Amino acid sequence: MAKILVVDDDQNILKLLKFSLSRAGHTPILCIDGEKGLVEAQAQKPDLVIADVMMPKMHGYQFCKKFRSLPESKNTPVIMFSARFQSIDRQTALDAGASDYLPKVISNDELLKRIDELLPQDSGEEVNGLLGFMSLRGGTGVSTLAANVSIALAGALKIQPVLVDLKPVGGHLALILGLRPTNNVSKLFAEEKLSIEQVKDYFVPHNSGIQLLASANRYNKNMLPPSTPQTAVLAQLLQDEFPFSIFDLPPTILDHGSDELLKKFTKILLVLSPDMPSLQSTVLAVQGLVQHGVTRKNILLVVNQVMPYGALPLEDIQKALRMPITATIPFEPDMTKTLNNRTPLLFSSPRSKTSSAIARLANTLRG
Amino acid sequence: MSLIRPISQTKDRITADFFVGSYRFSGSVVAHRYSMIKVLNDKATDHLTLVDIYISPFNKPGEIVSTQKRGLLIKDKIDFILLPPETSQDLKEKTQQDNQVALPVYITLPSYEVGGKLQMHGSTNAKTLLTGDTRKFLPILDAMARNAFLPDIKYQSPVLLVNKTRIQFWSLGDGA
Repeated sequence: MAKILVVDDDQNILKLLKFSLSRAGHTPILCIDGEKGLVEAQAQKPDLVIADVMMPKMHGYQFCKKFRSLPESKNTPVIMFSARFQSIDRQTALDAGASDYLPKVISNDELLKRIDELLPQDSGEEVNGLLGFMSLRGGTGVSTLAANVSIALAGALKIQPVLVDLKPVGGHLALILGLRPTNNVSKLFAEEKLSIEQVKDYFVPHNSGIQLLASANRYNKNMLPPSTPQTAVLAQLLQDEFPFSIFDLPPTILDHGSDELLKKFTKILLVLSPDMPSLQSTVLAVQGLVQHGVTRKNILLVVNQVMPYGALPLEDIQKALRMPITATIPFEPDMTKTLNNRTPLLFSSPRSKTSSAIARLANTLRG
Repeated sequence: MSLIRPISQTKDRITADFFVGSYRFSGSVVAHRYSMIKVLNDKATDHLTLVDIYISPFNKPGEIVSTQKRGLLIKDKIDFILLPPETSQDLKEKTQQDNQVALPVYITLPSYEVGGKLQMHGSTNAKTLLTGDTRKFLPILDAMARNAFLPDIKYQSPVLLVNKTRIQFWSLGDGA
């Protein structure tokens, strides 16, 4: 199991964590302040760090920034732990380099689960590069899922993933992230020749680290939808420059001539809600992707429980699609509220079951 | 289910966020097993003793600019207090009584606006609550406080305690 460095000035917390981490098979390294924590981090090279925010001498944010500047600690997950519980506190922790931020009163089980989610998976198949999220049926939560998985990847890997809204007009990614873009993909595609520098000029940064290429938010009857060759050029430019790019794909991606583009995606996540119309659309989407040359191995099924009850059993869905389900995202009662508040779920309710499921899905994608 | 709790919430202390003028103070009150409301409304003392204090400016409330082991806060100067979710949930349950109604409330304080619900008897009105109620701090349920100068900075809590003497304007009910 893992070597876990715990930095906290509260002896009670250190004792409790020593007990629970050891019982879970991990090796805890305990430090009473940030300075000692940095010394131990250099000497022991932990697999994961848990640090309190409110500590004398060096507070948790200072510790995290200094820890991140150490060689070999760039990708080590850091969980910050605090009695300060507002979203601004979470954001400050993420800005300081933390992978996650948890309230200090937390169940042992929840903490251990989060540690498991954040620790690198030894046997995970390496997946990075281009991810596509799509559904042939509306209302399955594709964009919400794409945005939140991108946030989880940005936090876990300390990278700046590119998120592309390929809907020609009225895509919802900017709204979900609470951004007001002035540039959009349609304007980018109107440029004569695409270069990576040009593409970067169109990025709309989000405070999670995501760089968004937004959809147009005003209708213009002369606007052309992104063509497949243009999208293929964009995908290649992003793949060459960034470790992760996530595309929110429109259903028209299955139109004629998209073989080369679709084959570029390392994984395509088909999102379905557990109902008959969505199942029917997903059967067609799988057929379409396979006919365009995408291997079944590169298609991942994600069941998004967008309604509280009346869902088809997962076994029936797997049987109909003859494919395993990679992830099931539970129903989120606060989803409408988070959309109305323009705050992504992973920021507004990071501890909800849905957020945890999204983080686990991101973990399977990160390699 | 075993819980990991900071020492500040396992002994006699209550950790909270205190908003006073241009600063946010995160610290613990030594409460000797009394509730935060009791400590605040105790007329025998005009101050709170805080320990393990982390101070942030109001425009960068996530950043910690100073830490102090011990200090005093003058109760009358406090604008409002945010309790941590586990404490405020208990308080919220105690505050909600069958014979009371929850009315929407909108309050302005120096530099902040607060929205939420106030539990009160049906016959009480805004004026009697301000002048007749002996409590110094009123619990606002499902509360959100927003910085008037930096509206993107907002705080949410199941219960927020607002200092009555700091209220500049308030309005009760849907017509607020």
